[in-house]
Amino acid sequence: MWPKSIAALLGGCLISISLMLNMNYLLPLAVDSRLFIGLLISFPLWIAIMIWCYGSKNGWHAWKRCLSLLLISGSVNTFFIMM
Amino acid sequence: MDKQFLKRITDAHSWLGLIISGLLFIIFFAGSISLFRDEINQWTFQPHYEIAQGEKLAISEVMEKAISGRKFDAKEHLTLISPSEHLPYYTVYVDVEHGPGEEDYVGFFMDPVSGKEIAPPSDYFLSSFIYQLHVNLNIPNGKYIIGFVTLFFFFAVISGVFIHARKIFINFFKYRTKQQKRSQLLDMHNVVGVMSLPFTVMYAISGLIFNLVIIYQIAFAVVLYKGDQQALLDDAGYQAVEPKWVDKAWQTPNIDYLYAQTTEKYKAVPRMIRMYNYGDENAVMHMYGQIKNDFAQQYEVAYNLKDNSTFLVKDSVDPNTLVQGLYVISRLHFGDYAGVDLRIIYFILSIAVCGLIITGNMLWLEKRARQRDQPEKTLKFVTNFTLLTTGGVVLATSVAFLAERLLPITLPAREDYMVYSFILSLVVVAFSLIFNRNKKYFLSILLRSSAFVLFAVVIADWLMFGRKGIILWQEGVKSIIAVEIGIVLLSSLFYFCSVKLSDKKSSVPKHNTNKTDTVVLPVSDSSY
Repeated sequence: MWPKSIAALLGGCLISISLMLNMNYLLPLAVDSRLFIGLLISFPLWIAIMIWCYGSKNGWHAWKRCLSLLLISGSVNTFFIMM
Repeated sequence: MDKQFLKRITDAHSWLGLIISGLLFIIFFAGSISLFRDEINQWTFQPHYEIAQGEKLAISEVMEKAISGRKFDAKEHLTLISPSEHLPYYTVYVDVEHGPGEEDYVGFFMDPVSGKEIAPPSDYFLSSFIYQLHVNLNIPNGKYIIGFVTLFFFFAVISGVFIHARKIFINFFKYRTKQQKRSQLLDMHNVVGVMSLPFTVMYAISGLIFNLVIIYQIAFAVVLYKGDQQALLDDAGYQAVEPKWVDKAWQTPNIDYLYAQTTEKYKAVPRMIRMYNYGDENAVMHMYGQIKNDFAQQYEVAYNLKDNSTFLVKDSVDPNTLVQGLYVISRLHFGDYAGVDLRIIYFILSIAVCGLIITGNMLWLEKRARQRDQPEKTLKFVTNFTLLTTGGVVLATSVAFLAERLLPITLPAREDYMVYSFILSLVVVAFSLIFNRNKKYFLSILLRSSAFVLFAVVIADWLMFGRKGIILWQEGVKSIIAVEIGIVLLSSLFYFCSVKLSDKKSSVPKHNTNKTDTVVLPVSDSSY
């Protein structure tokens, strides 16, 4: 359970941050609204990733899932930052 | 839903639930009491002091009296919290000149009529102590520990929905009182979990935002704002008030006029007034308050006293979505957006969640004891840990209430003795667990002791302040007697639970159906 927990905590945190950053670039709203929506959605997102990780076969499987999603979201982050 | 997925989620639900259960119980138990912290605070100090009658001092006079005779550091702040329904005095914090290691401020209650100093707020620490227990466990960095406990609690809530999803409607009111103990525990766990779902989700999200927002704040500041934290805070609506000290005396500042103007504009007295550079030409007066008749609307204004110009203004005319949104979340969390009846509902739900936590642990223990797949020592540790963090905390809190009432107000550092009484009670419970042979009986003893201690609190209250309580009631101060009623009801509840727990008949199934729970329950549920 510990390897899954580390993936759920760390992977979930990184993915939710990455997705929030993307959302912040994409949402056509005022900055205060974007920050608030980001704050509201970030923790449920983290929990969704945790569910996904704990539903995995083992720690390695959980990390594989996290890293694949993080790779996609991180690439979008990089694109926005470079722009 | 995939059975393997459900099984893994159920394993995680019970494993994480068990790990966080002790702290989670403390959070919910202390939080449920803290819903009435203003009333409890008034119950602690009001019987010792009179409520001043007469015309109140002007705010400028309050400020002058607050700093009079103190080594006030005018380059720092003078903060006043206005009198309220449950605290009819100003709470004053004066920043003072200090040496290394010395306290940098002085805090005290001040009579709004005479301007007399009444007592330091720290002398009446009970409600703050319980509230801090809820917020940060009264330990350094406890806020973050609470944050991660809340994160796992949120996971437990959502995973619970997955586990119970297939039966969420069919079993909504299912409570098999005549079934085996395990079925009763599971039904209680499920029913409370489903009925309190919107409430627990709201608490989990708001708690996470309060305690772990720093994670996203750092990430956003680093990536989006290139390390400029102040730019992020500006966008988030947190404008720093940092006027420069120019070392020239001010000329007749219109403090009372600006205070009256703000009160008139928002139809509400500022809840907090903070002065920057008091006495200097470049002084700023900063005020916060709640806009009456609006749900979760607050205002924040600051004026330059040199020319009465506005330093900053934030109100419903030009709101910052993040500030307003967070204020709404905080009102939802504290349940103070309606009357006391709403807080009673919140209290019942919170106590029900405490029951949910205990039943969760009991389910884990029952299953492991039956399966015999855990060492005896582990089961013993979990049993004792559950007893200490539930019944032990309840007893320690009751003793803290009694200490708060009995300790003389002239006793130096009386608040420390109240805290010691809490810790000592926990230590005594921990040692007495050595003699624990029956968990139900032990829990029943703890609850019965708590009931007697709480009843003793009310007796002591009436022996010490019976007449004063009645006079205060006649003067419109209902908190003292209301808190006593609350204590009696809680004491009765603990006594009732203790009787039920020690009732041997109730633990024997009346109708043994000879079916195991695994047959009765859905696959996912039986995996607890």
